[in-house]
Amino acid sequence: MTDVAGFDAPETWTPPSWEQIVEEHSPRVYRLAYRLTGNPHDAEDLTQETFVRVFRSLSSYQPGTFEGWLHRITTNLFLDSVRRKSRIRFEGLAEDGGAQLVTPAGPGTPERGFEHANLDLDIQAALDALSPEYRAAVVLCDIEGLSYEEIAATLGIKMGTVRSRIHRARAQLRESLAHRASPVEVS
Amino acid sequence: MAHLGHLLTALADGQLSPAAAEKVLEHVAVCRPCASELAAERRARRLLAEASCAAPPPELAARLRTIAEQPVPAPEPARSHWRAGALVAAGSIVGASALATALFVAGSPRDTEPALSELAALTSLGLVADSPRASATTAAALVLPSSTAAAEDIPEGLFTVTDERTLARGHGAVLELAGRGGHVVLVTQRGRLDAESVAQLEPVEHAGVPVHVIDAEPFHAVWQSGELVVELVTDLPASQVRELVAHFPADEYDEGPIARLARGWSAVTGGASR
Repeated sequence: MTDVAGFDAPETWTPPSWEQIVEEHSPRVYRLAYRLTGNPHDAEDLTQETFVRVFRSLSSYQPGTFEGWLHRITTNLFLDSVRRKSRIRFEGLAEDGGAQLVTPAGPGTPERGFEHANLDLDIQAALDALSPEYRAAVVLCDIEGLSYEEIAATLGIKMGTVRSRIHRARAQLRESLAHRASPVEVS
Repeated sequence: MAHLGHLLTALADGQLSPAAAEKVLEHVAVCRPCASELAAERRARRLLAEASCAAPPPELAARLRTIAEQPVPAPEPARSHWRAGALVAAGSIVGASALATALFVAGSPRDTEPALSELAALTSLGLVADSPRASATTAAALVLPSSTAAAEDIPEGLFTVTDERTLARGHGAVLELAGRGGHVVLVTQRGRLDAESVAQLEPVEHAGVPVHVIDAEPFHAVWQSGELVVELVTDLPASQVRELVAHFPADEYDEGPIARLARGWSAVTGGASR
């Protein structure tokens, strides 16, 4: 697996400005981050972390597939963080310093309703139910449209592993989303 | 039952070679269960592909643009290939930022993920850049957003600030330092440690405040300091670690967190290298 040919790198390639990079790529990175983390706050954090890494490494970046690079950073940051999952919990404090026990705001509660207004909740819930590794593979495949080969390179795993992860993830998703299944579509 | 397992998945994804695809399709044409399976795969794939996703909040792009206004990074050590750079970059989430995003909570109790493993802490330290990027003064300003006086308290030369940043939404800060004895990654965030969950960690009493030691080597601990949760990872020698923790302000209710942090910093940066 070599770099996936995204766009050609002509001799005249000049690095885009940081503004352009943010403008062009942040919605996509955010969307990927959202699909991976399953909530807007973590998606924002992940997006920010990704761009911090991008900015720091820009000097060593060679023209190539910027998107592939972003996929790789975002996904690996995400997997890295979930692998370090612990049982330590926090409760946020109100700005005035007073203890504030916030009601957990799940996807269904009113205050989150706005953020989720244009989101297919059942699909995100089905994704959330997958293990992070399966989720990453299937999100890169179905939502980002990467080939198995690209996914293997992004996640640093073998093609066979990609195949079986996506197969199993898809099976779980189909079960979770069975309520969406249209009656019969078989000839 | 379908007979072709992940071949059908790969076919639905368009990931089979033409020859393989043809063979699978030949089978599907005469096998009802497999045809049904293939249709279901394609349906699931389409559902995901067509699902709408929340748009990024409008202020996110503005915040991302400010990344470029922070101190310009020193050129990375020569890396011949961008891929290597990306991998290292990806790995270094383990650095302070992993701890940071992990521990921070937006308002509701939930599981968080500080770097609990020794490997994670080691990786974190290994990735602290060696090249100075910012002065200690700016770092102090960052950690102490509303205190300018404290900046002078940090003796220069003992530690070099190798990275500094605020967390998303500005509720915390990450500081990475390199000194003669080793590296320090410090994450401070507003929040409250859930006592029940840290109860499983070995606490070390420090001025009546339990410092929860996640790992001894390299030293990795988390504790509550007033309204702040402090997380520290460092490969300083044990003697310096003890001094460093001892100098960190424990808990004084009569002062705001900023003042405490300020004094903590002068103690940490002065005390650790004595």
